[in-house]
Amino acid sequence: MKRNLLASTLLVALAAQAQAGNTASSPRANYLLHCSGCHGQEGLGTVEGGIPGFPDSIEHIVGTETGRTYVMHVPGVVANNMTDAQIADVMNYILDRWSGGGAHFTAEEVTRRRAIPVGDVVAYRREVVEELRRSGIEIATYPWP
Amino acid sequence: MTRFIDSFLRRLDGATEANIRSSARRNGRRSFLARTGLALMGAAVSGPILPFDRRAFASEGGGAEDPCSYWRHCAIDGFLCDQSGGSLTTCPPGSSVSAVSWVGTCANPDDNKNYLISYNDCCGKPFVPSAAFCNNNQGERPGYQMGLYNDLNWCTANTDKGYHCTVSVVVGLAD
Amino acid sequence: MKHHFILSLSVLAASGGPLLAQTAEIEPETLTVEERISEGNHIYVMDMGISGPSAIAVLNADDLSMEGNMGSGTFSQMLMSPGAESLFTGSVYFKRFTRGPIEAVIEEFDPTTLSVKREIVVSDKMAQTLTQRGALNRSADGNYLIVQNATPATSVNIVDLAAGKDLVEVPTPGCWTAYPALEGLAFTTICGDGTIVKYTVSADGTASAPGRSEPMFDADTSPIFGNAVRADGLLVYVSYAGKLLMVDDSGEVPVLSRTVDFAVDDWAPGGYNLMAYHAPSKTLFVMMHSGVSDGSHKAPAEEIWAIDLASDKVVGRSPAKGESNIAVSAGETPQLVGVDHLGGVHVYDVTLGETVSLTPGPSREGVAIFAMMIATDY
Repeated sequence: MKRNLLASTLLVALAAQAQAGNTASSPRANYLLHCSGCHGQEGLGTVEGGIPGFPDSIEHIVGTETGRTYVMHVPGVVANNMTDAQIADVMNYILDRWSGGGAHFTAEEVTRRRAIPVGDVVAYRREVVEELRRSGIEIATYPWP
Repeated sequence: MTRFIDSFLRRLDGATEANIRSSARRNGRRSFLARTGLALMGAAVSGPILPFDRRAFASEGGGAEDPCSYWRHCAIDGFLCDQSGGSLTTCPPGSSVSAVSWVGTCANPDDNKNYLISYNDCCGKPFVPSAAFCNNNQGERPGYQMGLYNDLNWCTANTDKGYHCTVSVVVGLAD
Repeated sequence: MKHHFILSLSVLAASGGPLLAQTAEIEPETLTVEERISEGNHIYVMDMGISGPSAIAVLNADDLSMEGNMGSGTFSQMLMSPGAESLFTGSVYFKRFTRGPIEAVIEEFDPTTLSVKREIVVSDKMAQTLTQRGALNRSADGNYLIVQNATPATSVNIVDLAAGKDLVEVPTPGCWTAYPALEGLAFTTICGDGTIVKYTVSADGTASAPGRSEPMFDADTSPIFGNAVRADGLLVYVSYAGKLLMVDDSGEVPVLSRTVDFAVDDWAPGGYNLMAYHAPSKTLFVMMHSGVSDGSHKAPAEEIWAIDLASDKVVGRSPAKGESNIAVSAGETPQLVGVDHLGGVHVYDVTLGETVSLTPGPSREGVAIFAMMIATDY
């Protein structure tokens, strides 16, 4: 009896799991699932952990052409099955929470920028940093500046 | 010694060795079983038998009494903080919360909803050998999806990097 | 243990009088150290430390008797060099055991005397992760070690063995494991976008741009294990669902050479270091379990399957004993060795031929608390 109950509970759980996969539905949920493990629920990252934080940083990055392409190629964005619309939603969630909103992405922009080959994402980031530095802007600490 | 423990369990609750072994497979416990074994050896000699009941229940395929089968723990890999001096959502005294974590998606059988669970490690202490060691892996991925990986010391980004135990904190709805 | 101790104390007490009376007449025993382990075949089992040191148990392969051990730091990795000339560990030493500063150290052991030949302090970004084949490797020319870092930001540390120090840290964000190329100083890593990426490093420490393959898997819907083996010049990865990805990493960009769909019905691969390859017979061993579900990919083995990589066919399914890590010896008549979640070590004789079967040999319980990787010197 107990076993049957457990078995059916397990089936329900598995069915729900299969449906959910590893992609959630709301932007906040996708942020938690795909980004928060490393960047943190408060978006602060960790210097010791080599994870850049968002405050005082993401707003500057998305303010440049190369920066907008760069953020479409970071590990959290390339390594999941979100649709481009969902990626846009998550990016906009991040921007709303940690950059005062604005500079939103559309699904079309996400599609376009993800198609741009950046090669070495670490080297590409250095271009973003250089460009911002020329404007007197420093962004979040990164392990390979 | 394991053989001894298995036969001891058989006597005690009628479970078969095959059941115990297959439950170990299902639950994927590693050291927990070995550690329980050690505790049991002592218990058999000196009196009350406490620490192995989790495994006895697990041999029936899990259950509310088996802490590792609690729905929130569907992707936990570590010692339970609620048996280490903390709770499901608190780290034990004097430890620190890991700066980074891995995140799982678990179905709550009570409402059939999927919840996002943050598996933070608590850091800066030795592990507690009497705490249950759970190893569940729903949605778990290798380190190429680092935020979903559970074979890493998530205390690694803390000042105090020693692995103590793991909590299962509900951080949101997945649906 | 305690019982034995008490027992022997009481025996001593009972016989103390006569013994004392005879001491003048006997040759006192002298205490020495065993110079080395026995001649013959041995099995090395990593017992990974979480809160303290790791220990590598050394067992006689014939009867699994204990011949000694080697000690390294916490979350230790392990690498046996070809010909079993050296056993390398890479591990992290916590100065206060559980808090404060750490030091990451490569240690090179003599696997016959079990003593340390040398040590190299390396970048403390070294990944604190379960012992796995993709985390500590040696370049084809033997001059460098290739170490997985994770803080958890991932990079790969190249250690110059001749200089005894780090050569360069290669950033590999979003990627995991580092398997050496068969030529030169180069490694290949698995990335979350489903690609396999190769980096080449020159002697001055300059890393190439990443050579990124076409996507080979989907991290969400068809993930692969981090564990890979080298077979016939190719890197062999395996998916959670039971498909081999045979990757040619000889060029600048890794290429998917072929795939082998070998799982049937309700069976899938499971475990940690879950594959082992026997080169002379081109036989790949994979730990398998039934009752597959999301999250069962670390389930211990119910069977060990043999896949002939000449024909790409499953040529044997043998009962297993709940192993979570396996290795196979190198000789013409190999033995397969597994360790289960309880730290029990199990040896099987391998019968090669049209079909491949495993015949259980000796087992020994309780060898390790956190049993992980296995190596052999034969």
